[in-house]
Amino acid sequence: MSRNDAERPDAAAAPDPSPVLRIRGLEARYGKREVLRGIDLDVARDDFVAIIGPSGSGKSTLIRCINRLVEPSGGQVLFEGVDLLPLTPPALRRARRDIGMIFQEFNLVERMTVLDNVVMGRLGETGTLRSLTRIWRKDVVDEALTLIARVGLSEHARQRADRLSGGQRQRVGIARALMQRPRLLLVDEPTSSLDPRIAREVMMLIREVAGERRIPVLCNIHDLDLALAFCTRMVGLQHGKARFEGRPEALDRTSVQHIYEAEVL
Amino acid sequence: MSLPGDSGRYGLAWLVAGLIAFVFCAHDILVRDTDWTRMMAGHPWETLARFGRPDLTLLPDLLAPALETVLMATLASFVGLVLALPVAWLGAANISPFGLISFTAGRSLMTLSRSVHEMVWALLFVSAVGLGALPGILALAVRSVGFLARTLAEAIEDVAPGPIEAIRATGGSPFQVVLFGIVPQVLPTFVGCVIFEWDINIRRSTILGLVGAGGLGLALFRQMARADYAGVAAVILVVLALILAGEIISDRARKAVI
Repeated sequence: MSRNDAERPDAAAAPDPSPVLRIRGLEARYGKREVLRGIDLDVARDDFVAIIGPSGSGKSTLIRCINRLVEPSGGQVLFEGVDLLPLTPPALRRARRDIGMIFQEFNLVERMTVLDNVVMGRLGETGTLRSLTRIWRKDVVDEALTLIARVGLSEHARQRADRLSGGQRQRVGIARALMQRPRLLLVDEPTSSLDPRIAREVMMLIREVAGERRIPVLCNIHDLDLALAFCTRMVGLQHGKARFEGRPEALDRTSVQHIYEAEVL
Repeated sequence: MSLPGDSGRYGLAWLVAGLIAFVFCAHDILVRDTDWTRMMAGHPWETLARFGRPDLTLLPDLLAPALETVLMATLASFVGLVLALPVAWLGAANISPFGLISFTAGRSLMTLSRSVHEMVWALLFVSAVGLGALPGILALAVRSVGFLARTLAEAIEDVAPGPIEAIRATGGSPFQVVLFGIVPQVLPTFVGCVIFEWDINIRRSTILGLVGAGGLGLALFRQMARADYAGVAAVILVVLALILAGEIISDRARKAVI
């Protein structure tokens, strides 16, 4: 057991090796440019997988191909055994409800309150009329307030999102993703817009809340130190292909240099 | 000539041609086209002077037309707003439903609305639905669509993509993407533009009565027809007061929104 597993209370009790997410031969292209060239990747229930690699290696595209914010051009994305790629738009929207996402630029609705932003995690189950009136169900609001308290923003719940600092906004983003009660978390460079100390706190929070709820995490991160500190498994991406896959301990200097095609450290 | 080549001589030729043209125009307007006998009799000054003594007893009678003018402008701005929404949807490149076809259609509607003068729109609607406030409202509404739809379409094109992505990722419907991803980002700009357009519509509606479309313009036209210059002056005073009031209100309102 690695130190990460030891910190997950449930993990030791019932390890579950069957993959929640199984990616096979995933391909994506922008016009003629191939961005992903046959990616295979499994994410199990208790995984915190970090995807590392240089800029332009396809990290962001890989994350977005899973919930089809970017349409892949080939392959399979099996989420809990169901291939997401052939789904019709309504079925895809239902599948997206179960996959939380956290973004580099937080992607909050700036002019709305923290509470409204967090409740938006439940939009997939919210009707048109409620969306228009913004009269949320009481149990939904209570759940959102609990999550806001969990990420430490209780006194800011009724403030507009654009009044918050970067670190606070990312906490709102985390609460919004958790509001979906997700069974998978996709995290895209969560710390790139934050200073180093806040970045560590945010990574810590993501690992904690995911561990408490046993949500597997797939996280793009270009900061190698953060990746090493927080993940249970790493995938090194280069030119749209996986160059390394394994536990962080197994990642030595040679393989890092291989992934980044440059002298590191 | 200090300049090399022929440009100096051509410059002189242009100057002479310009002078001749100017003399012809001046002769045509000032000598052939002007009624100097009437001018010499002192009429223009007397007439202008009569505008200087507005007939203030007319003011109570102008209250109703003034109110009508404000209501016309307000209703027209509202109808224009409603009409501008679908046109902006068509004409915003990033959300236009049928690609280049609907985009071109949307942009063409905006251009059509703006390139036809409000008086011409009013004439069209007066002949279509008869005299009164209704053709005025329709004319101003149609005239407003161009500006409102265009600013809205451009605001939509400038929307930050992040929130849209986030709402799609939660499983939100296309309607929810628009409602939470686009509307909050464009609302302040759009509301500001609607208020601005309302202010302009007050200005426009004061004149539409000239073609029979109700409001203060109609009152102006009646006083004019009776050659009651003191009455005309009173109407102009009311128009001035109304436009000033509209400007102050719209300025305050826009500052409150943005």
